[in-house]
Amino acid sequence: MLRGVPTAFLRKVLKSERCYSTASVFRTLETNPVQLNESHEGRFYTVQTDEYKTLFGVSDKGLGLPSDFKIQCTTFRESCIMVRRPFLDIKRCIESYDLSLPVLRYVLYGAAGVGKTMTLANLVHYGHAGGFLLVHIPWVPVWTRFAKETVPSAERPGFVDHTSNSVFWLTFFRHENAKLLAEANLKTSKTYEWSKRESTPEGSSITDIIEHGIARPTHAAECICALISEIKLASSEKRIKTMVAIDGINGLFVDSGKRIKRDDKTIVPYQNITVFTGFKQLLASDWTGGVVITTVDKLAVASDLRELDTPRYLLGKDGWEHMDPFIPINVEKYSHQELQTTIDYYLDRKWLQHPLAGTKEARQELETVSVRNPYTLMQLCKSR
Amino acid sequence: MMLYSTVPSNQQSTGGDPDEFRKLDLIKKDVRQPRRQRERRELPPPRYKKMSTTQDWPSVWPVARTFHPASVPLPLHQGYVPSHVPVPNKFGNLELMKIPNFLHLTPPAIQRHCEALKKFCTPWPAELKKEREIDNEFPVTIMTSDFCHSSPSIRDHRARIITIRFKLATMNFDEHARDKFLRLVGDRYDVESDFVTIVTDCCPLRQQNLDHAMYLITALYYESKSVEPWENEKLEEDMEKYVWGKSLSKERLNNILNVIYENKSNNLDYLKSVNKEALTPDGIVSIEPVQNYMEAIETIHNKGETLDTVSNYGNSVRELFKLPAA
Repeated sequence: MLRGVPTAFLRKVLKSERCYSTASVFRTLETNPVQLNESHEGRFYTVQTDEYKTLFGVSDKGLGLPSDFKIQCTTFRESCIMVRRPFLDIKRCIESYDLSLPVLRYVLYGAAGVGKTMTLANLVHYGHAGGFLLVHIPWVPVWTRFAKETVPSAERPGFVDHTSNSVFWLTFFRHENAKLLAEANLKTSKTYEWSKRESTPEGSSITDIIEHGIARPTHAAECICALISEIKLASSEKRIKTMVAIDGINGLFVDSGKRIKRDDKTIVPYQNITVFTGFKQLLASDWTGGVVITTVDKLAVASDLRELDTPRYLLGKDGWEHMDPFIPINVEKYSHQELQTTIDYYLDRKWLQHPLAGTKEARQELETVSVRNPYTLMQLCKSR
Repeated sequence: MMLYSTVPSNQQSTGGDPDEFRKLDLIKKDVRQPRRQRERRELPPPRYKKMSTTQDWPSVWPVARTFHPASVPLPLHQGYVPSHVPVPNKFGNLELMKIPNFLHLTPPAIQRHCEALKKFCTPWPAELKKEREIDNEFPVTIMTSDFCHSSPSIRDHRARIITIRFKLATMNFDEHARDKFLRLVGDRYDVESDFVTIVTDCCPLRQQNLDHAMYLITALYYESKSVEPWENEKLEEDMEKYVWGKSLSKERLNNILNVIYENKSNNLDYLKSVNKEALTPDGIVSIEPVQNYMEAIETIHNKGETLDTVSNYGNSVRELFKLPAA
């Protein structure tokens, strides 16, 4: 596309347009996700920098947001997420449902790269702004395929505990919910015996559990399970409202490829991972005062289990029975208008710099080559 | 004293001078007779050129036979065509000879066959005009093959084989018997056409095989109808299809509905009109939104998971919890 255009002309055009807009048709000035509604559909809204740092900024790598998107955010020096139909749909459902009734489970599904994680991130932002305690598990394979250090569980025979992963997650949880935990001042409902000498007595703050887990990595996995049961209890007693967001829950119910091994080289089945028992408790419907939003993603499981994108296939029998009844939400690829909006946004950010990039032909080309898949479009528009 | 002839040796000939001595010719010169040239007759033109357009084709090509280019008055072409090369014509064309042809089965030939066979046939029963009536009256089709060829023996081993076919619907089975029957017949059942096909060929005679097939049908029928004590041990995994009523999901939904029922902020209209006694795992099936939900979930499991079936399931769950539509 670049060939045949004089360089001098290019330079002139670029020089004349080197100014960034703040408000446009494709962008909404609304930054509070609670206020977003159908009128904002298909437009970009900005996640404020401090909120971005709280929710997604603990690690540079993909934590709640796809890694490529984070790099793009750094480049653009802002983080804009498109308000899409699945987000508005779930938001409407959450607002119409009484929190004192058993939790509803939402399962986002769709092909790879259509924006399941982005929708989840959008909802996490909504939960944060809406005063929900966030139990956010950004990517389940982190605990299986990409697990770091594991030790045999002291309490549960045959189980393994994650140490560094658990400590990192507890830090992340504390970071994400620091303000809310301080305000709510939740107390433990029972005494937790971590070892012969260490325990968290009944009536102490649940931040004590978190602090203990961070200080003692071998107990961190048990601390996560304890924390989860405390959160469930507190939510059921209406002391707090909770939003559970888990990306790739099918990783909890089916084999996810590379497996954790014990010291004697035996393979640890995914059922024998301590933190997973806690995560599965979150997905059960035996508690109230919360909302559970999850995604099923074929990338979360072994490569021979990636034939379909639909929830029954990905969850398997166990997963389906655990989740049922849930509300499946299909995340679709961009509509024609959404794709145009994204191109407008990239043009505005000077991400697409070619003078012909905004023409009808160029848009048509991008639409055809990307097949309207958001991730493919993002890959196409970056320089390398 | 010796005398020598002064005549040069090459001039000495055998039959030349009678006064000369005859020369003994030990090594005879090979005098060949000129070869008789074979009389070359001109090739007759191919037969099809002499054929008249009004000829009786079934007598030219009465039975199945390999293609012969000169006998078929059609400009046929067949074979792989590399670019810029003409299509191979019918002469010396192996491809045309390899494929089976139906030149002996032209409509007039078939008609003549039928005419010839007609005198052996009885008239079709007037009562059996409709296909359905035929199926009702004769639910079982028995298929055999007769083989006729010229050889010292008139027997053919293949004539013993019996193929029996009937529709499963004619058995009037209940759910249990049907399931058991299908497990017993295995791949002899075709789901699409509903036909069960049984082939018997283990006995040496046709009649024996026929009796055996009839015995098999009878045994299958009564075996399917009987309920053995061990059949009660059938678990969810052994089910031939997904039954929501026997799954864990039913218990789970019952628990959720019970919690909602007892909650003050119960805003589900369908639950308000239901008695507490009806909220049991078996009782909730009669509630209308639960029925829709049950149908949706069974469709996903039994008819396959597509975007439509999943979306239907989602809608039924939204209806259960009174959520706004997508």
